Amino acid sequence: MTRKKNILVACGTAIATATIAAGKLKELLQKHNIQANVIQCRFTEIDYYVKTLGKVDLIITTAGFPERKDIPILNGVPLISGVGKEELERKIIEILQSD
Amino acid sequence: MPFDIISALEAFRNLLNTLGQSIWLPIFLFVIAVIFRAKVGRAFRAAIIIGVGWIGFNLVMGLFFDSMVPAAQAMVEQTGIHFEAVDVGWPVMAAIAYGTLVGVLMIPIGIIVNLILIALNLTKTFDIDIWNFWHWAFVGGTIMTWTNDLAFSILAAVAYEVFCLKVADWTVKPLWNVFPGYKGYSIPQGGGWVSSVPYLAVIKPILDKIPFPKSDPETVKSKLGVLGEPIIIGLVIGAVIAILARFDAIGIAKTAMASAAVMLLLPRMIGILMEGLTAIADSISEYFTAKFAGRRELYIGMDAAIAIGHPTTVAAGLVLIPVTLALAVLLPGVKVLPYADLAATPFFVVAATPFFGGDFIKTVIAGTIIMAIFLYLGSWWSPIFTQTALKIGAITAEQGQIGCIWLQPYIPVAVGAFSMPPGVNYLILIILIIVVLFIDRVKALREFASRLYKF
Repeated sequence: MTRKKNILVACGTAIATATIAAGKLKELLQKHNIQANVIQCRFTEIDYYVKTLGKVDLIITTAGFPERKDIPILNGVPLISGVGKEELERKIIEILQSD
Repeated sequence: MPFDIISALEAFRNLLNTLGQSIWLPIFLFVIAVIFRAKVGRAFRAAIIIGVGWIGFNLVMGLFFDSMVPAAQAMVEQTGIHFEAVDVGWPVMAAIAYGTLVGVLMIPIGIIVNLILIALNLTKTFDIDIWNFWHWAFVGGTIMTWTNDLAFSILAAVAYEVFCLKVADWTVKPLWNVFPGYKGYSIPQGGGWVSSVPYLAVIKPILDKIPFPKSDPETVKSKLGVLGEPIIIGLVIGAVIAILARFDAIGIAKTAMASAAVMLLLPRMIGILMEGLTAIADSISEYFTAKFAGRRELYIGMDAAIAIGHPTTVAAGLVLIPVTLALAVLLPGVKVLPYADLAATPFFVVAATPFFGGDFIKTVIAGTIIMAIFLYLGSWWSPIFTQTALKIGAITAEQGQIGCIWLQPYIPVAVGAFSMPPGVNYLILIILIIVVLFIDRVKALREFASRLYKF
């Protein structure tokens, strides 16, 4: 039994765009049968969640600036707009199935 | 006339008021979703969530009125400070906007207007961000309270939509310069983005003439970071208000805690409302995206939240929290105590950052000026906002005033237009729409703008 993955979905307020992105992400995970905690947070709360959760496997942000060295971080805007969605989904699955 | 449309509408409005938003809003949106070919099961679930979100919103508003409003009133009595209302923040403005009949009508009307403009090649922005239609819904819903003229209110809301779509077209360059990954997107969001652009258009050429030292937003971010947490903002402000109100220790602790709760829970409740609304909006935009995909070069219109993560925006937003409070206390005539929107200050500079190419000091200065303008506009419009909330039954008369800060620039424009004689007032808005639609066809103006703004 593998550990359940932790995924952060971060946006400006954790209300608007992250809600949509998290919804789309959950659909994707269900389709690929991946067990994961999807946590919605504000962009400024990423560090706080990284500390309290211990291990974060993936961060998806819909607020721009996806740069980080310790944790894979992806631009989640395609989940909302639909443009480039397949490529992003492939990357998400790749990262989550890597270990 | 065989059919009296005014009294029919009046009867319809009374029916809606009797049902309440938690019932008619889901029914209405369910019908819209089914018309736009959403799956019935999915639309039904989403509609129920919207009703649940509205009830949750009312519960937390109850907490706001029970705890924050008496504390703020006591503070005003004790200190003689000039506040008349506490700012309830943009999420509540959005909920109330969609709680009005004009507001909710703006969802289908907004989509149709956007499609017509695309078909006529008058805009490139295809706005899929239906949640943020609330900005023009707010213009229409509160202008309805002011004018009691349904056609004029819808026209005002449409005029603001047209302005938002055109501003989105015009501002893609600064957006793409700062976020190269967002090529193909534009931001027609009528709040943080579009509503500050008219002011930035004036501020930018002036600030660009003045040499400022460089400053690093990252240090500000790490030093002030904790200030940006909604519960911390809520706790501190609640405590300060209670202290100024001369509450005893227990009263201070209770007010501070309730305030932290309001700050965290209010947006969460609107988030639930949002979850339902986006599920429905999604099926609508999927329907149209399928029809439009690949037809011609279009920008996909998104929420300003996609640009909120810039370090300058985050840091300037943090600096703006104390700045906003200081402005509210020091500026004469400001009647709204900034509160819930203090958790959303980065949105007040989300357009300023790209306009100044990420320059931190210029962004903070521009944000301060814009905030002062918003504080005055909000003070002026809060009584009308309160009346709108009263009319739809979101609050009761004895609960007192609620305040807002953020105001769409088309509200003063529409109020000004309405003060003209009947007939002329409509004409002004129609001329304004035409001017906004065609102004970018004037080559001399385009060249002047590109020299002035250097994007």
